[in-house]
Amino acid sequence: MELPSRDFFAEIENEQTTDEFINELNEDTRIVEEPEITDEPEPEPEEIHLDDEPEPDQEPKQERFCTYDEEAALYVNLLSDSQKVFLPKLLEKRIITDRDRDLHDQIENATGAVEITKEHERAQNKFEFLEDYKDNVELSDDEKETIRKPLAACLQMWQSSPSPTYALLFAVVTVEFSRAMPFFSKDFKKK
Amino acid sequence: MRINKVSLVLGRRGTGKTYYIKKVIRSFLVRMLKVLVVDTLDHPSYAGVKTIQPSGIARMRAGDCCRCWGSDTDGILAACENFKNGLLVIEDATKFIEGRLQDSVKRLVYDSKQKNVDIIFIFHGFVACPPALFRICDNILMFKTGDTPDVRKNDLPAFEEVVKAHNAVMADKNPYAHKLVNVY
Repeated sequence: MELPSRDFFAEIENEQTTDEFINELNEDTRIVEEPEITDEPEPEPEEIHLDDEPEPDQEPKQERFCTYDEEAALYVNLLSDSQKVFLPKLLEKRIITDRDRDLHDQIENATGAVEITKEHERAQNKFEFLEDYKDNVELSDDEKETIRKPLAACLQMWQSSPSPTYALLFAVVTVEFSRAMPFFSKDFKKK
Repeated sequence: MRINKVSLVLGRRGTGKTYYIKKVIRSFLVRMLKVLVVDTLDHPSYAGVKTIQPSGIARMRAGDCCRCWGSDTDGILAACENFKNGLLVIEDATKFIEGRLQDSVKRLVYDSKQKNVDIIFIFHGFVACPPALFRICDNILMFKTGDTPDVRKNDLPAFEEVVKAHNAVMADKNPYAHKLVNVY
């Protein structure tokens, strides 16, 4: 993502964007991503419940006041409406759907030439992301806490000064947070 | 359904136009929309923004903020037709737009809704802005100018309202005072 340097926004850092003109330009929901042409509609992301039952071969987990999904939802709820546009899009890029898995399998199990579409590439990117970070999924509670704290700090900074710099910082920390929390995919948890 | 806006920002030097535009840019970036600033010069106020070539405009992604500058105004305007889903800021638009609107400018304006683009044209005053743009814009944001709306009396929709707002801005002791008029 190409963002201006922090200096660019330095003079307006403490300015609120409540002006009539700015409000008018931002008055409604927009298309955030380019429309993508696909042969068939994308399936809805599958609802994921991670903490229903512990895996038999795992140690009993420490009791939590909510699931990871719910915890993620709590953080999302702390965001303003305009900020909420951003976070689900970020997570959407990471959550593997059945469709992604089919596309991934088409490439992995192909016996002949396969026409690689942009949809295939996106699905592969998600798998590669998981592959990169799979060793980090099982973090200790202390490590998870270490990641959770900067996320909360970033949220606080972003809310007090909604600059793109903090938006980017928040994105980075959110990804760190996400990779520590195994809510990418049901199958991934089983590994 | 949201309607994309074509806005004119008028004001002489040092009235706070660029400062204001930064706030507009921030509001778009926070929402992960694209922002493209075009200019004829390497404007120091935008030094913190990455420069791209006209050919790079089509490759901008959601949340990117870039600028494209150079003396080939026709080439830059033509490349801007590949810009979608965001805010397009034409800095010092007098240099890009002639008295009679070029076809490339007309296409930018008329296709803005299909491409989900808001456009801001920045001029130093009423005289500098071509009459045709007044007739097709949605908003006029006025800072202090060196001229008056009277010079465009026959071209300005909501003329009385524009005059009233302009008078209020000029009478304001705040050097950065500004007023918005929704023309349509």
